[in-house]
Amino acid sequence: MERLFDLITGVIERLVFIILLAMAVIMFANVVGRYGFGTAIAWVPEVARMLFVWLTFLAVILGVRQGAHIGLDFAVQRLSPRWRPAVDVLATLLVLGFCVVWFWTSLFLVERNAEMRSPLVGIPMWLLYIATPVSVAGIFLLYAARLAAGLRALRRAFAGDPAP
Amino acid sequence: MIFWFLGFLFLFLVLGIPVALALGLTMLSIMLAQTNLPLFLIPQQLTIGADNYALMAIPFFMLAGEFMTAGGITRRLVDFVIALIGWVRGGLALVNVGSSMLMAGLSGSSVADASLQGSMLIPAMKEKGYSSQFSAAVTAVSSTIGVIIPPSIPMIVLGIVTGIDVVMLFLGGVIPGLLIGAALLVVAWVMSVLRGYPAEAWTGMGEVVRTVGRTFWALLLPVIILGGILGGVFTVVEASVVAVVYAFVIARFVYRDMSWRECYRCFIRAAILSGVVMFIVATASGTAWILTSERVPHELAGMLAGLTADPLVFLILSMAFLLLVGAVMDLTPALLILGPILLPVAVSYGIDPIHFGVLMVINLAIGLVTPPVGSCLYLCAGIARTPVERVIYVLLPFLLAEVAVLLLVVLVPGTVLWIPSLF
Repeated sequence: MERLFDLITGVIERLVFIILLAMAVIMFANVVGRYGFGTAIAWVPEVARMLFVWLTFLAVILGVRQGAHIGLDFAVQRLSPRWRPAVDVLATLLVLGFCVVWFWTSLFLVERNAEMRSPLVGIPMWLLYIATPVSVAGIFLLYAARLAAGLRALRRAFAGDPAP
Repeated sequence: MIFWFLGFLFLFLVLGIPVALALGLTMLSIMLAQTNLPLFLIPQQLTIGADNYALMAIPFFMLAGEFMTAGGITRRLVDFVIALIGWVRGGLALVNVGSSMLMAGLSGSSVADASLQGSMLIPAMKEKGYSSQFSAAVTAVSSTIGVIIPPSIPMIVLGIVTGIDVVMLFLGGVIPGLLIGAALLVVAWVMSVLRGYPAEAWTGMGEVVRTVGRTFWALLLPVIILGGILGGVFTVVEASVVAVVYAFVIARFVYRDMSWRECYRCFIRAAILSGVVMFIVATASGTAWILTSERVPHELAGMLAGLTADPLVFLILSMAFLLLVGAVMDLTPALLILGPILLPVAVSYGIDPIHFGVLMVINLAIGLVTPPVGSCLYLCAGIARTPVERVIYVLLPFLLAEVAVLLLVVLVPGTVLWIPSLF
């Protein structure tokens, strides 16, 4: 399981690199075009925004994997070792529930926008809206793995065997 | 409605759910419990929140910051400040504050400043006999200037969610940022004298000139960014892209400190940092949209108007409230959640939005170094290998100085509004 996650993370890292690089290159080209030659490239802002949405929602998965998303843990850390896994499992379940709602509603959104296109370049709008279901699927998988680990810790805690 | 919102949010946060997901869950809970809105508005609002041209400045400023670190730009900057003011009593402490002020003009994030300066200056200070606690405190507190002097990522974010002109916020932050820097320099100097900390040797005018020469290209960057934005040459987004290319060229080809491998890691780190911020921006703007459509700011303004009609009383009450919030919550989420709620209320009291916006940033930046949640404080205490509880005592005089400046900026709106009024 860990190896599969590593593989997926590796692919996402490369995608994120390419997207951010592409954003920087086309945006800089646009700046140079505007000041150097007096002509802005019309499609740049639209394409860059699309890339930016993808950058955000792919990087969010990497952030979950690395535990980079900030939260308040001072309350949970004050709990006894017996209760901490229980709260952790509850929190994980809530996040998983949110992911399920988010996933289904976002698929609906993709379908609703199947025929729409962006005003300038004509990029299909579903390409924009499909970024969130992809992202939420990634978050769901990572939290599902955390749930499995949490349940194991919970069983240990209530078997009277303190977690290592 | 506001109590439902705060209740749900508090519950999810206390359970240890990351802020962005806690906001998403709050949005879902309010929609289920209090409104008849269709649920597909959640992904729609999240996508709209992330799909914003102006916010592209965030990954770009993050990337430029990563290049500057990898390229040794920060190290050269610190060398220059040491040559310039290191000879004063408590030299390295003053250098710490001074280089934070310079770095603030280059980067838009306090946590980045704290980790950079901390890893460089804290070991150096300990070696010269400064206590670990003092070294950690001065590094942490001076890094808060990073988000007050432009460019500033929290100001960009605040401008987007509240509709205040980001450039005006940038301009408004200049004088308060310099005032805080000056106040911290004075406190650092007095404490160093009392504690008998050493001064560095004066290395002569020649060394100053030599180090300026070596940092020249780095020092030119804030001039280009700020000059470009303020002179109306670039938009904020364009300036951020120019900063990326400039920092890349300096780091890779002028100073040659950055390898290609390191360059790739810079991209990944910047993307993740930006993803973390943008995820909160997306969920917070979705939540703010629901709160606004349910007229929560209006409801809150009505409640407060019953309490007091005096704008100054409102300002002082809201500053006290924000200091409490800042103690338990990080800067960007707090700004994103409370900005859209409090700003309309402040405007209804006749307070200038730029004044209130800058006050919010200064106030919540102080929260970056106050426990129980203060990312810069924990980071610096970690680098100095000292328990946070012991840093707090040393930190207190610095915090008092920051709060005093905050109060001054509350009472004298001109400190914020004078520079924007010139443009």
